[in-house]
Amino acid sequence: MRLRGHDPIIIDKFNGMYKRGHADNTPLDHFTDCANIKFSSGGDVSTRDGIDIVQSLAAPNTSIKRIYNYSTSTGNTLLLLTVVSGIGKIYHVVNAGTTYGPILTITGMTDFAFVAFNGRAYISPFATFTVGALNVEKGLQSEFTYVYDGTGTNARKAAGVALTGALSIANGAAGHTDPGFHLFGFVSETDTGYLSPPGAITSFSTGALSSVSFGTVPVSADVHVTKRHLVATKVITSYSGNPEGYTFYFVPNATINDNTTLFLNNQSFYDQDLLDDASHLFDNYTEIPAGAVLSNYHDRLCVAATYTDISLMLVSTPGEPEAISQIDGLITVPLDGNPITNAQELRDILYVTKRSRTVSYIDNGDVPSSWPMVLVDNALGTFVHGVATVLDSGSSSVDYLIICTYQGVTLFNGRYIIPELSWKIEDYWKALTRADFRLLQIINAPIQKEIYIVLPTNDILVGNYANGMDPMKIKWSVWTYDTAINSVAVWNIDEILLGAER
Amino acid sequence: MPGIFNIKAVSIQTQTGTWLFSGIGTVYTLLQTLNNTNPVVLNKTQQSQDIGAKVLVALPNSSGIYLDSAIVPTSQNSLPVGFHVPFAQLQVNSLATDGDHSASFRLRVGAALAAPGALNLAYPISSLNTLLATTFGLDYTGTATSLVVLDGLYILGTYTQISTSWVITNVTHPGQNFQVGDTVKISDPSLIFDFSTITSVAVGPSITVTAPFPVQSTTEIEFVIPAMSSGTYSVEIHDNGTQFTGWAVVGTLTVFVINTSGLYKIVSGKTHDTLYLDSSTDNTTENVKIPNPFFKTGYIGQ
Repeated sequence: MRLRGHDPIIIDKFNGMYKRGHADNTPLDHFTDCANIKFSSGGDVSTRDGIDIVQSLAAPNTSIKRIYNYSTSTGNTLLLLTVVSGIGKIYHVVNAGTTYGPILTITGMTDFAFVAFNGRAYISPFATFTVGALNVEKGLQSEFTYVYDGTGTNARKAAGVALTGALSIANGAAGHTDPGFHLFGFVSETDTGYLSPPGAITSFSTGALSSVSFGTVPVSADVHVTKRHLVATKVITSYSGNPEGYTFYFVPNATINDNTTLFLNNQSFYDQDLLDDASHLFDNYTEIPAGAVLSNYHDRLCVAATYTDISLMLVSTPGEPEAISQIDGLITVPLDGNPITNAQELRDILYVTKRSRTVSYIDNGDVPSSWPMVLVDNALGTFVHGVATVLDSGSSSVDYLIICTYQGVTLFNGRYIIPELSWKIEDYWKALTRADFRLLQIINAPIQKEIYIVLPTNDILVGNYANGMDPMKIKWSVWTYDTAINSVAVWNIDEILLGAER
Repeated sequence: MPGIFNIKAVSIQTQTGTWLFSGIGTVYTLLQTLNNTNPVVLNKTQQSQDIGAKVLVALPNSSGIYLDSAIVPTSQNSLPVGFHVPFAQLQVNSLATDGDHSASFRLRVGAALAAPGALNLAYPISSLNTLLATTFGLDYTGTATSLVVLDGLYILGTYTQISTSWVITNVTHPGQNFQVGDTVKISDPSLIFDFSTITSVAVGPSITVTAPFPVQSTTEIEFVIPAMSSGTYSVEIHDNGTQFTGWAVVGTLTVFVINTSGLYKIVSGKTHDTLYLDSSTDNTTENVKIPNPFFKTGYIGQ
């Protein structure tokens, strides 16, 4: 019907929720409010898709607090945390019918950080602590970073202690060494490749025409030790009595390939054969403290926001995620009373956030403590789950990050891009309880071209960017459920999983 | 139908100096003393030292209310619908001290004390829960030769039934069990009661839902069941109207806490949500509708 003097207004596309300023300012093709609707790329609107259960188990996992996609060497799986009566339990969901665990049970663990590394899962339990008026996420006190091999056996503490005891050393069969006083020891190696500090250090003066034989080689109490390597110093002309004052080297081809054999006989080597330095192992953490943040940067494991130091980041040796030097593997983000909340690589740069600050570090090839810091933003930062994950890690998709800040959902390409992605729903975003932003979790589903953000209200804010990752083109909606959603993950490329707590 | 009730003691909360009560040294016999109507002598004559100031405090038996002199108590959740208490008092049938007035007793309700020698003291009746949770007892001051005769100590009151036709229904899941988050409607088909002046609804001893309610009219109110544990709870309304002021039991509510927590996936094209019925029990599921999809535009409304 056409009224005289009034031209009909045709609305053939809907572009989502618009909550910015007075409702009268809402564009005609936007919604002043909406719930449980989805958008097609053509601008159509329909009811959101329903949900179904994932597990076919008779006793499914309940009270789910956190889920992560965990890509093992053989498949796409999940790690999930349940919290009942204050006891946190982590399970490994292999598929609908198979769940391992709990692989880790810790009282007081209300959340956990996770990063996959060569098919293994590194897990760090953390919780929220109230410091003054601030909620602080940091590692649990007297707790550690764990490693899980994906096979269903319980997670174990990452790293490990040195072997203890004394070696029985004697000249072996005819062979060769540089004659003189040497220190010998053994380094254990776990199934994850972690090398312990040299232990069972024993002195012996070798002869020029003899090899060296070792007895009473200690066996590690750690059942995950699979190898023990002989380490030795070059000839010491004047021994100070302090074994850690000398450089130890791996003796080539001097390895016991088990954790049971008590001897290693007839080892011949010259000092010039000793090239592979093992002394740095003395400096490594034998237990890695738990933190609220785990990340992978340049093949290094990064652990941040420990119980005792919320601004400290521990960075491992490249390729050895459990080898973190207590001397030069540390990075201190400028202290401001706020904890480190996230760490994410983008274009070869490690961006580290606090809730309202972002700094960056660049691996200069030297030890982490030497990496220069660059202040990126002194007002914007994010939260422990505030960087959009793509499949198994917080990471970039199409060369940018999507980050939840107090300002809004923001694209980040080395700087925060204004206007923010959530520009159209700025009032909605800023009406969320700021103290609960720590409960936000965001994922990016590139196949669906949708962003999913679990809100502190247990609802989901969905941004459809089928028409472009642009503040003016993205379409927002809120999805609600008759169960309390508090975690989200992408599984098997494009399956969106939701974890419900009650 | 009006009647009388009494509430007896269920346990001794505080008793300074059990030795005061000569010949009845156990809590069990002391409770008998408080609950029975047979006179019991509290005799301090055998002791050589002064009694001084002592206190005996008992907890009311919240699980059992004796209606109309019945021998068997009625549980809180089985009280007649409309149960309302206009009057209640702590009373002792008789309380006598020795002739030289060297001992004195004062009845105690919570922190309130009666005048010395008074045989009754008003009991708070602001709610059923208050009535059943407020302690009672007596303060006793005596000498080494004090003697007292105590004849029962309990709550006595009258009750009426405001309306016997209240109905509690589940609005969210009609005909089904009540769950946390469900909307509950209380109405009175007899139209005797005016719901418009109800100020709060108590569900059990620790949950109170206060106005404003989602729906409140002269004929009904609706409220949402807040987070609580599974169980059967008495429901009482609190009213502050000209027709009626006070509280009344409107019935019971059996709440099932449904644990729908679990791992879910979004299924393209699925037109409903499938949730665990109670994942803490088993993997049984139920299909529920997607909650109220809607949108509103600034131009044409919802």
